[in-house]
Amino acid sequence: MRNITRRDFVRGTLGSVVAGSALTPAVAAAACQAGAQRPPRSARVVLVRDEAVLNAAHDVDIACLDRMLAETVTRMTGLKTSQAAWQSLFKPTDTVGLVATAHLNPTHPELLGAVVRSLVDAGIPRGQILSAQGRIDKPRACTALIAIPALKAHWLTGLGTVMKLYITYSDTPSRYHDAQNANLAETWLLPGVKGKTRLVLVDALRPLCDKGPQPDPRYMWDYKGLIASADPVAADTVGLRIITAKRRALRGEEWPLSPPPLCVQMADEKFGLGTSRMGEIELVRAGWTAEALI
Amino acid sequence: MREVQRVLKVLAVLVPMVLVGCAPPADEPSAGPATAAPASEAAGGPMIDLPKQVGPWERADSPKRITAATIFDYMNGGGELYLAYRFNHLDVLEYKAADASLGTILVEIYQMGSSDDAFGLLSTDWGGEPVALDPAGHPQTPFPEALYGAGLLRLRAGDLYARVLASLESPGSREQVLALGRAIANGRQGGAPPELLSQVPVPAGWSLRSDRLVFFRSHLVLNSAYFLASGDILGLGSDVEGVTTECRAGRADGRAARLIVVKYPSADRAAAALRTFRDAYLPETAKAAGDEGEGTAPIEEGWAAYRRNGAMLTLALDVATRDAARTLVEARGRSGAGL
Repeated sequence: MRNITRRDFVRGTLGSVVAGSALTPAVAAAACQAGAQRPPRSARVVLVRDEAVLNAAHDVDIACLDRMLAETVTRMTGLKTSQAAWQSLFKPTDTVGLVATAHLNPTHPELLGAVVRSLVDAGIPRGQILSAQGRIDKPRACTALIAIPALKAHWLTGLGTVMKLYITYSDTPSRYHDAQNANLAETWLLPGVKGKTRLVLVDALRPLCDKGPQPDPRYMWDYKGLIASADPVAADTVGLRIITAKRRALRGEEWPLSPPPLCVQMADEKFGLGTSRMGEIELVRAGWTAEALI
Repeated sequence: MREVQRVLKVLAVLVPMVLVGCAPPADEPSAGPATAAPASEAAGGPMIDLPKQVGPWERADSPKRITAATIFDYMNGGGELYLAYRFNHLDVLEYKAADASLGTILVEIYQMGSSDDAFGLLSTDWGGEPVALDPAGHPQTPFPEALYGAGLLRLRAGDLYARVLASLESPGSREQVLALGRAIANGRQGGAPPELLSQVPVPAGWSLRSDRLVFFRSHLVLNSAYFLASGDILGLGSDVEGVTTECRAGRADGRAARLIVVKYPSADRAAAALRTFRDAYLPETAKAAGDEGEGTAPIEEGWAAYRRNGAMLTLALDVATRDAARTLVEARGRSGAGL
C-alpha cells in the first residue's frame, strides 16, 4: 500500500493517492471517478444550543435537553411538532438501531434517553429500539440507524465523530488508523449498513477538541449544542469547523489536527457519501449564540 | 472518573434495549469497565502503596491491573500510545467520597520500560501548570516532571508515568490530586530527559521549542505531533529513539521548521531507514546518484535536508532556504542547552 505523505496532503493530490491505497479497489475507483466530477449537492445541518442544558458541574438538565432535541428534529424536517418529525423519519415497523460513542468522551446517556423517549412517543415499540454499537451483526438486525456520536478529536484519526462512528463494523478497525482514516466512509457503505442511517445527531454538549488518547479536561468545554443532519458528511464538516475554531482559540494560532482528518473530505470526494463543502451546507441555527465558533 | 461514569450510564440506557446475542468485538471493546486482575494477583510487580484515604475520598481495596493484553479493553485504541512506549502494566484506582457531589479521583499508574518512555508520554503534551513533586522543590525546567490543569495531574517519576484526575475540580480536589501525585513519586525524581535530547542540533541563532518537543518510538506518536506519512517510513520501533520539535531562526514569531532526530540501534538500521524515507518522501532524491548519506531537496513547504551520521538520522523539513536546512542537519547538539 502506498504511503500517504505530508507532501501529498500539502500538494492537494490526496484524492488520487487515497484511491490508489484504498482497501477495496472497485469501490475506490468508482467513487474517485464520481468525486472528480461530482454533481452539486446540498445538505441541511441544524445546530441547536441552550445555555441551560449543562450546569456548572456539567450535569444535564433533561427537560432542557428534551426541548433542544424537539427543536432540532422539527427544524431538520420542517415539520411543526416533534412527534410528526420523528414519525417522518421512522415507522412503527422499523427496527431502529442507536449507534453511540462508547469511549473517549462518550455520548451523554441523557441524550440517548431523550431519543428513546421520542421514538416511543412517535410509535416505535420499545422492543424495536436497539443498541447498534459493536459488530456488523448489530446494524444488520436493524432497518434504520441513528448515528449519535459525541463531538471529539481523536489521536489516531484526527476527528473521531461521525465518519469514525461505524469503525467497529469493520473486521479490522485498525486499518483506518492514522492517515488511512481517509477511507472511513467505507464503513458507511458496508452491506447491512449502507443507506440505513436516517438521522445523524451529534452530541456537542461537551466536546473534546484535542485528540487524547484519554480525555483531558483542559480540552473539553461546555458548548451545549446538538448538531443534526441527514447528511453524515455535512454533520462532520460542521463539527470539524467547531473543533478547529476551538483549537485556534485555545492556542491563539493555527493548531491543526494531526493526523489530518482526511475522512471528511474523502467521504465526499471519493465515496460520494455527502458534502464537505460549506458552500453546499445550509446551516440552520437556533438558541444560544455565544461562542458558536461557526 | 466522570467519563467512566458516563459510559456506565450509556450502558444503563442501552441495556434495556435488545442486546441479546451481541457479544462485544474483540478489537473494539464494549463500553463496560475493563476486565482486569486485581493488582496483587497479576504479574509485573507489586502495586504502589497509596493512602487509603485522601481528604474525603477513599479508595477501593482492590485496584485493577491492566496489562498489554487488556489495555484495549480499558481504553480502546488509546492503548496504542502506551504500547508504543514499551508499556508494562497499568494500575487503576478510584477514590470516591461519601458526598457524591465532590466527584471522584481516578489514579492511573503506568509502569513503563524506562524513564525515557515515561518522559515520552509526558512529552506528548507539555501544556498545563508545571508542578514540583518535591514539596520543597521547584518545577524542573524546561521539562517539568509534572503538569496540572483542570483537575488532571500528569507526571513522570523514574520509569513511572501517572495520571491523577479529579472528575470535579475544586481547591480541595486539587490539593488531594497533588498529594496523590507526590505519593506516587514517593521520592523518585522525574529523572533526566532522554540522552538523545543532547544530540538535537541547535545551530547558532536558532531556537527550539521545548514545549513542542516530543520523544517518540512509534510513527503513530510522531504523526500525532507532526504528520509525516501514513506508514512507518523511518523504520521506528521499541528499540529506536526519536525526537521532534519546531525550530526557528531568529525571531520567535518567524517561520517554523520541523526537526526530526532518530537514533537507531545500528548504522545499518539508520541507513535502511534513510532509504525508505527517501523512497517515500523524497523520491526525487532516491532516483539521483551520488552520496546517499546527506542531501537536500525542495519540497512544497520550503526545503528538506537529511543527514545520516552512523546510527543517527537527522531530518529538517519545511525550512525556508536550502542553506538553512543544511545548517540544521549539520549542526551539533548542545547538550540540551538550546532547548
